[in-house]
Amino acid sequence: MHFNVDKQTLQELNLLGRYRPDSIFSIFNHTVTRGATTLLEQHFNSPLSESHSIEERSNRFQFFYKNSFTLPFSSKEYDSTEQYVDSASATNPLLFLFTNIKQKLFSVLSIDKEHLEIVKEQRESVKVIKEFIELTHSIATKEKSEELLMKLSNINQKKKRDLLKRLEQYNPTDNSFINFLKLDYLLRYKNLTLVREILESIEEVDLYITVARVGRERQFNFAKLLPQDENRVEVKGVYHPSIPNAVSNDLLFNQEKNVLFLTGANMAGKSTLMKAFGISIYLAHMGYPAPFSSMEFSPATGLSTSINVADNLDMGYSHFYAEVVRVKEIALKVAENRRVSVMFDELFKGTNVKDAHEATVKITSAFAKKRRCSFIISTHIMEAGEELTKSEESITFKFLPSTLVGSQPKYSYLLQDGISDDRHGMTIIKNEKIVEIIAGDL
Amino acid sequence: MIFKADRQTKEDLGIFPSGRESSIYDLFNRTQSNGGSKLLRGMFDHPLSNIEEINRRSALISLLAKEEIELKIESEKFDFAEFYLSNQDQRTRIRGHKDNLERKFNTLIGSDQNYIQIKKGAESLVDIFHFAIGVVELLSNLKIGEELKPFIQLFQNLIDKEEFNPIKELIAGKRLNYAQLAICDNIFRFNYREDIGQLLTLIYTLDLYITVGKIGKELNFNYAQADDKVEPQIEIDSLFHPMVKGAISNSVKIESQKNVIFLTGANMAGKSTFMKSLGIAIYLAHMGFPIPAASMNFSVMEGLFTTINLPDNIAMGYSHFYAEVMRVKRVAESLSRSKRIFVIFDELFRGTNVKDAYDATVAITKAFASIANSFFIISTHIIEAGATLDKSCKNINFLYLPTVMEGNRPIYTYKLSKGITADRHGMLIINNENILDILNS
Repeated sequence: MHFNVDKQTLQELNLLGRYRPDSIFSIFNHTVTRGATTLLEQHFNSPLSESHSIEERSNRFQFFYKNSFTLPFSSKEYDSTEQYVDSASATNPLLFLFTNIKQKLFSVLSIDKEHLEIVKEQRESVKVIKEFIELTHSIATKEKSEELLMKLSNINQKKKRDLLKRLEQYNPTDNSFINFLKLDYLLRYKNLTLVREILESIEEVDLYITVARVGRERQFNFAKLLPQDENRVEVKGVYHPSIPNAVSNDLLFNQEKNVLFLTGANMAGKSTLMKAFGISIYLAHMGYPAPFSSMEFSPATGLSTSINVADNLDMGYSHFYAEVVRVKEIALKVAENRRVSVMFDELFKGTNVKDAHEATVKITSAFAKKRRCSFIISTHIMEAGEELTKSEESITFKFLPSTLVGSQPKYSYLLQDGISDDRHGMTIIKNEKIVEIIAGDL
Repeated sequence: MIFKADRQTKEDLGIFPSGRESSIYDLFNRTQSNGGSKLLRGMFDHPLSNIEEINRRSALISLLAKEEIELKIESEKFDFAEFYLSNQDQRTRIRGHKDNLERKFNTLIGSDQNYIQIKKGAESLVDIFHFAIGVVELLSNLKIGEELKPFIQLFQNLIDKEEFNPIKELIAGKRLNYAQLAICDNIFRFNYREDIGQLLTLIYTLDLYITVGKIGKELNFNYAQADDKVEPQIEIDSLFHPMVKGAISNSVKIESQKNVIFLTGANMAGKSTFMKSLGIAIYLAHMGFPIPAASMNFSVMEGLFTTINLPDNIAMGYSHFYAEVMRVKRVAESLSRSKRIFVIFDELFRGTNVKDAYDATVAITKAFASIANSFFIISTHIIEAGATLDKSCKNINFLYLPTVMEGNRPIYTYKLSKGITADRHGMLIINNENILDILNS
């Protein structure tokens, strides 16, 4: 079963997006090989929800996180190798010989320079393959590496050793055509399947090395898995990875306390906190390192956020109706008795105060009874919070504080217990002196 | 002095085409001549703010529509003529003494493309000139009001010029010989080029006015009357939105004593549509064009500001609320600079929480209410703000668009009523979607 995430959630958390420099995908997208980027995309597109598969992948990343390796060749060299192997076309020895001799002949007659290109590609391929096999040897010397190496595309170890031995016999300074032919036969004819497998594992190892390196550089950490039916998520020091010097916070959800009721002024950091938590949950379900100092979690079956609900005026939806539709979508998922992690920012701002109050209380109470799911709900209607303190036991009340220094609000971005009634909408209007401008006093 | 309407306003009202949506400009853009279409664009770009100009133009258009005058304009000829007139190169001038054998031979084998273009252009212009004579005759024979007379006089004066006598002697539709062409070319392109340009513009204008009048009639539009009362006011009878099929009409009056309309109503009750139709009527009225209403009397305003679909500018780090505050600030600055502005705000401060929106709406609406010579329409879903304003401000006109419940289904009448709505359907919509049942089951 897949971890269930819809399009709106992906957009709100800015998770995907190969060409968006600020997406979470882009944080990790520093691979050497193109194939590794494709793998990375696959991981981002399908986070996991089964404990054992999360654990298995996470362990591999952790191995490379602890043991630092680098790929011993450049992206350009690998591209040449890939091209060299991909252009293998011969299906029998005669054709193989004929193609090569034709290319050599054309090259000598200056008709076509393809042969010279291939010679260059071959030299780089030999280097790449040799060095990668050596890298796997040095990986093998580390602790807990056996299982990992076994998993690396089940490469036939004996054949690989043979290939390496043969490659070492060739003199790299020998530029004769016969030498080229022999190598070409070895790599692109006789051992083509093996060579292709090696390329695949290069891409896989590239991804592990890259993700682990990014994690180390950014001081990300790995989440620890808890049994699924414990329904517990505890994260310490979670922060938003795209914000420089982000402040970190601790959050805890379990069966007894499954709702966080979040208050605070505009700009106090409510949405950012939700996004930071959402991103960490998502990355944890991918088995990736994530922006927190520690985390323990029971795997969930999905993640849904409602942070920036857009109006859908084309479809004749008002803002309020769009919100209601979104709440309904999420309610359906929650009601299916699944373990969903849910975030609602400024619920029901598209309606009048009374309706917003009533709806917030009712919807929050209904959610609070779904103990297997965890919720973060933010609002400005502190009265709704006060009402909920009386009726619901499973809600934690926290706020993000703001203090006015003169007329400028200051924010600490650190969660505190309780409900806040800070609002600075009017302060912004006062700072812009709008009422005075209208009255003509300025 | 010009009538100001910024880009946001034009986008909100759908004045100009954007994307797939059809615009008010498209409604009228059916002139026969390309020149007429260009003039139309200019009029849409620059509405008028001079009472005489507005009334003169609307009188002309309505008169032409009433008399059902039809012109048959061959737009191809005008295109040839325009292209011909745009060539002002002295070297291409047709000279009588150059009528030699070489020229004749060149023409015969059709190798002188330039000459052919010039001949075609000049012949088209001769036809157009004779067409204009016919038009003036037609217009002068009508027994119609004073408004048209100065316009006809302009036409007449141009045509009557002695210098054009050689053109008048020619017969329309007949080919020109070389000698005739040389004379025409001299007149058209070099000696009296400006007069000819003016003549074309007059024909385009006539084409434009006739088209606008005809479309106004088709769409059931009527003409607004600008007045110069000391106390500004706007009174519109049976206003409707031209793009909404079977639109329901509303009448509305705004004056100095009640210069703010505070509009409430449930979502989907038609608040935005009403505001847009009002904005469109005001915009068209200031162009002297027919408007989507039965009648309208208005004091000429200096500008129109609407905020109906304000885009967020998250790329610049603005939240929606901040974008709204900046928009209000812009309007406020304009208010302090000019005297009479018409301002429309739909769902003021929807980008923030309900409580801030409440405070801000009350503060801003109060401030607006004190500017008696400018008019404001403000809509909001925060009905609590209305109740507070009702106690503290005298010059606010409270209107709402009602919702009638038929069982669980809301029905909208789209008819303005006095007061503040008590309709709260938020919980109803939530209940209709069975969200609580889904969760409690």
